[in-house]
Order: sequence, then C-alpha cells, then structure tokens
Amino acid sequence: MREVRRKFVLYAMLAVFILLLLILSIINVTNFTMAAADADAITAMLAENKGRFSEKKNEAPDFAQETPQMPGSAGGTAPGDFSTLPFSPNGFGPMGPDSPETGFSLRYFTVRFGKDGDAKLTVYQIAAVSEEEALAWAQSLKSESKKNDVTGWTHGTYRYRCYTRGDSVFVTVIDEGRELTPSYRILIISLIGMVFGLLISFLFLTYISKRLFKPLEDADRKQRQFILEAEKEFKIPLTVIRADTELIERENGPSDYTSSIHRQVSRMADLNRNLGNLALFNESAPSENCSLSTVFETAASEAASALETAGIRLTAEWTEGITINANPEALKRIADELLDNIGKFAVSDALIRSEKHEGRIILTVSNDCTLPDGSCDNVFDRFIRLANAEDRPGAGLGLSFVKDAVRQIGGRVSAKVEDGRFILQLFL
Amino acid sequence: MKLLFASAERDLLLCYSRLLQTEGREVLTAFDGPQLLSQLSGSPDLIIADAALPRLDTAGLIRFLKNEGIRLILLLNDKKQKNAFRENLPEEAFLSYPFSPEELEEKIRETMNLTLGKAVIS
Repeated sequence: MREVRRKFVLYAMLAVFILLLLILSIINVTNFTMAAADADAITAMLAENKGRFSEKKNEAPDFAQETPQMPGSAGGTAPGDFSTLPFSPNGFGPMGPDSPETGFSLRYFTVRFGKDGDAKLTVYQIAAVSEEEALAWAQSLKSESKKNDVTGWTHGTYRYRCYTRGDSVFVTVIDEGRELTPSYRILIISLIGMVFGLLISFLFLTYISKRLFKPLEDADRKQRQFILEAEKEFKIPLTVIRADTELIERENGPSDYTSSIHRQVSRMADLNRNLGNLALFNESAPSENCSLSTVFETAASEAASALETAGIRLTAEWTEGITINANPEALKRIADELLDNIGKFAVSDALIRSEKHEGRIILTVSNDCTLPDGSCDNVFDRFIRLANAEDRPGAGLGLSFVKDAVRQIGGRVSAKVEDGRFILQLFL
Repeated sequence: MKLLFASAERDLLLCYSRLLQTEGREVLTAFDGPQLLSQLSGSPDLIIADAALPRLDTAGLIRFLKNEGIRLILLLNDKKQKNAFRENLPEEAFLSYPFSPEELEEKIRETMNLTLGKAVIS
C-alpha cells in the first residue's frame, strides 16, 4: 500500500508539474512573442522612413490644443477613429510606436548598404554599441538575411529588421533590453513560483495521500491479519483430517477415497501455507542484516527429513560472509518455499549455491526435473503450475510469493530449464 | 514406550491418541495444563504438547522437564512461538501444524534417538 501511495504522489506531482509548465510556457512564450511583435512594429515604423523616425512623429503633442477624445463622443472624432486615443489599438500604450516619446527613448541604429555594398551608419542613437560594432553587426545580419524584410533577435536583447528601400538595403537594430526586462522578471518570478508551487503541492499531496490511503491501509492490514488468523485456524483441522484418514486406512485398509482425501488435504495445507506467506509478506516489515547461508541452512535442516524420505540429495555451496538486508521472516519463508519446491519436484538431486558477482548476490537453486528445456518465467505467476506438477501437491502460489518477496528487497528472479535441470536464480 | 499427548483440541487428542497406540505404546492424554501436570505422575517417556496449551506455563514446563530429563516435542501453530522457546529446546523438538502422522512418527523417532542430555537440554 505504501508503494501505491508513493506512486499516487509521484503521478499527481507529474500532473501538477506538466500543468504548471504548460501555464508557464503559455504566459512566457506569449510575453516574449508580444515583446518581439512590439519591437517589430517599431522597426516597421522605422523602415517606412528608411530607418529613422519621421519629423512629425518626433514632435510632442500639444495637449493644450489637442485633447484626446473617445471616438464617437460629443465633440470628439468620428466613430472608429482611434488616432487620438492615448493607447493605440495594438495596446502599446503611451510608449508604443505611435507615441511621440518613442523617438526620444528608443536606442537604435540604422546602417544603409548602397548598390556597391558600402555601408553607412545613417542613424546612431545608441551608447552600448560602438559605431564599428554597429557596422559589423549590420554586415553580418545583411549576409544572413536571404529574403527582404527579415526580422529577428541578435546579440541577446537587440531586435533587427533587414529591408530594402529603392536600391539600398537597410539594417535597423533597436535595443529592447529595457523592454525585455519585465519579461525576464516575469519568467524568473514564474519559475520561482513554479518551484514553490511544486513544493507546496508535494507537501499537500503527501499529507492528503496519508489521509486518503489510511482507510485502505487499515483495510489491507485487517485483511492480512484475517488471512493470517484464518491460516492458523486451518492448521489443526487439516492435521485432524489427515490423522483421521490415516486411522480409517489402518482400520479398513487404504482406498481410492482415502487416497483422494490425503491428496486434497496436502493441497489445502499447501494453499493454506502460501496464503499465509502472501499475507505475511508485508512491505513495512522491519529489515535487518541476515546471513544468507544461516537462513538457508536452517531451512535445509528443517526440510532434511522430508528430502531424505523423497530420496533427494541436497548439496549446498555457500560463499561465506554473504549478508543481505531483509526481513528475516520473509527470507526464511523464501528459503522454505524453495526447499519445498525441491522436495516436490526434484527427481534425485538438488543444488543451492550462493555467490557474489559485480556487487550482486546470486542465489541459484537447481534440481533435476522432467521438464523440456526452455524459459519458464511464467512459473512465478500466481496459480501457474508446470507440466510436472500435475500429480504433486500445491496451488501454484509458492514461487509467486518468492518473486514478490525478492522484488520487495530490490532483487529479481528468473527460471529456466536447461539440460534436464530446473534452474531458479535470485538476484539479490 | 509411554507417551503423553496434550492438546486443547479434542478431535486431535482423539485421533492421535488412537494413532499413537501402536507398536505397544501407552498413550496418556491431557487437554490443559493442570491435567498435563497431573499426568506426569504416570512417568511418560515422551511428552507431545501443544505450545499454546491452555493454563500452562510452557516455559516453566520446559525448565521442569529439563531438570527431570523428560523428552518433549512441542507442537507449533505459529513460527513466532518457536522463537520464544528456541533457547531451551533443540531444533528437533519442534513440529509445526499441520503435520501428518508420518511426520509425527519421524519426529518421535528422532527425539527418542537423541541422547537424553540433548533431547531437552540445548
């Protein structure tokens, strides 16, 4: 359940991030695009007059004589005539291209290239760029512009227009640094806002997910507890049924029916144990450093008599000193399941080997078998039983538990049949 | 051989007392702690008892049997129970539910084949 909650927070954060990024992008791209459009409007206006402001536009209006009127208002201009508005329709405001202040505040230069290609600085109203630099920039921009009337950004915050008037080519470059400053501020503020937004979202989602998932976690815990209690309750009845069946056989002789009872009891006992394993497997169970060889040797000693009865010779090859950080109970159950598997399906011999390879612990459990060669990774799916399991007890849950438990400790499993041996490998 | 089988489960007591009465064995039964203790006067050679027998201090029983040199097989319903008694009992003394009659027979043979000192004393 913790894993589910973690994924919930992760995906929710991803959604918030994408949404914020989208909003941020729309705002800032629009902002910069509009800034570029504003600059282009100014360079277009300059281009009308060969790279300079017209005399008329540079004059300050006489507000005493010309009072701006709303269009259509009494005594004002005709409807639709926006020429006297303080703001032009494209929203530039008092500092737009139509503003008489623009000519005074704009930092720009214009270079004219004659028919023979010689460059002349016709307007130089800028301090940050020297005349030599201005000529060099213009030369470079003219060379790059393949078409007439090309606009673009150059040297960061400078907007240029390259255009032809008559026989001459003009390059006008305006300094948009001051105009772009608010846009950059908006970009930085929106980025900072996005980071804060993400942080606040993360904290909120972490808090809210705890409350949202608590009922689910409680239900999951109760379900596991119920299964574990039920598993315990089933054990004694299964023991009694086995013993009673044995008594019936001793008194009346074995029959197909008593054999059937034995098989079904074994199957139920196996299923019961596996259900308990799956319920016990708890992602929040505490971990500690466990010696792999000790855990498996304990499990092997418990399974020794069963293996001996089945005529299976078990060989163990341990690399000393291998420890693993895992829940000891889960590790013991993994060992029990693997040994139980050997007891059920091995023909005559089995091998358990541990080794370290490139920082990973590899535990190999192999036994001879009657299966055909090939991969059998599906053996880790629940309720899957291979061909040699038809007349053996079990419900197909044991290896499923092993896979889940190994994954919980960050490992993986694989299974294959090769040269008549069933080989299971745990990469821990 | 004289066995004492102790379990609160009456059905289990019934079937195993019959099953164990083979090969000349005498089987005493008990369904709780006080009855088990009273049956000790019958001097059983081996006690097979549920680890969670009602009204029984299992740890105390283990210590007592250790002093008396009486062999014990403890029946476990939960592996956590093993951890509680592992210090005073060898691994061979534990048998988990559900077990088959054959497994119990095997465990009896193992326990009886152990030297007296090892059977109860770890």
